[in-house]
Amino acid sequence: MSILLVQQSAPYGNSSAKEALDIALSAATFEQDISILFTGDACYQLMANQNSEKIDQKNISQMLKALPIYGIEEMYVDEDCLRKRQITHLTDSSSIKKLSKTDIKKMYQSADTVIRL
Amino acid sequence: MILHTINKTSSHESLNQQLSDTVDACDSVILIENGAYQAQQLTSTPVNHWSQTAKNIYVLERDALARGVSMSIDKINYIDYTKFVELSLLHDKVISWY
Repeated sequence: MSILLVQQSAPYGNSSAKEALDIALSAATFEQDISILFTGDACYQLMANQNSEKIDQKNISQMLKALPIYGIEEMYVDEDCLRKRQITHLTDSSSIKKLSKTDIKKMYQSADTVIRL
Repeated sequence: MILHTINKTSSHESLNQQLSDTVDACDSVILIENGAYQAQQLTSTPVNHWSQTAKNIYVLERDALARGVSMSIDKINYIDYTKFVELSLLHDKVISWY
């Protein structure tokens, strides 16, 4: 049973990114096979040098870095969306794989369940 | 075989583009809520638009009626909630585009 969690929101403007993290961590707690795909504005979650303490919020990129500890190893980003937003410096880019449109379509097809938020 | 639902108009370009990139020839799309307005524009969509790829296109009848969307468009199947549930069960999964 594989879950694909697709994120499309930038980190701090609304609670979407945090809620997605909650879903991912809950799924991992129950040993579900979950992958996360960052697309659209969710690419902004992956930007390096975030200092969210300036707006009294927890640092999303730091929390994402902790996901492998909870068994979430599969993290992907839509390379077209990165390019359009001119995002060149990713936080901890080693653990996040860049995917083409074709790869992303395959992911949507092969997952048992898709959650977009 | 995926059932896609979309609840936004065609002006949400990036959302519609993502749907177009994802839809496969064996997938179907249901237009719900404000997505129902898209039913009227399906005659003039570009080649790789989701409406050209999808096997079947449905619109929720009551959402179309509520918005004054035409009830006699060629490519469109008009469905009620019962049929929506049935379609959800007939497909491997449902993906919501919103």
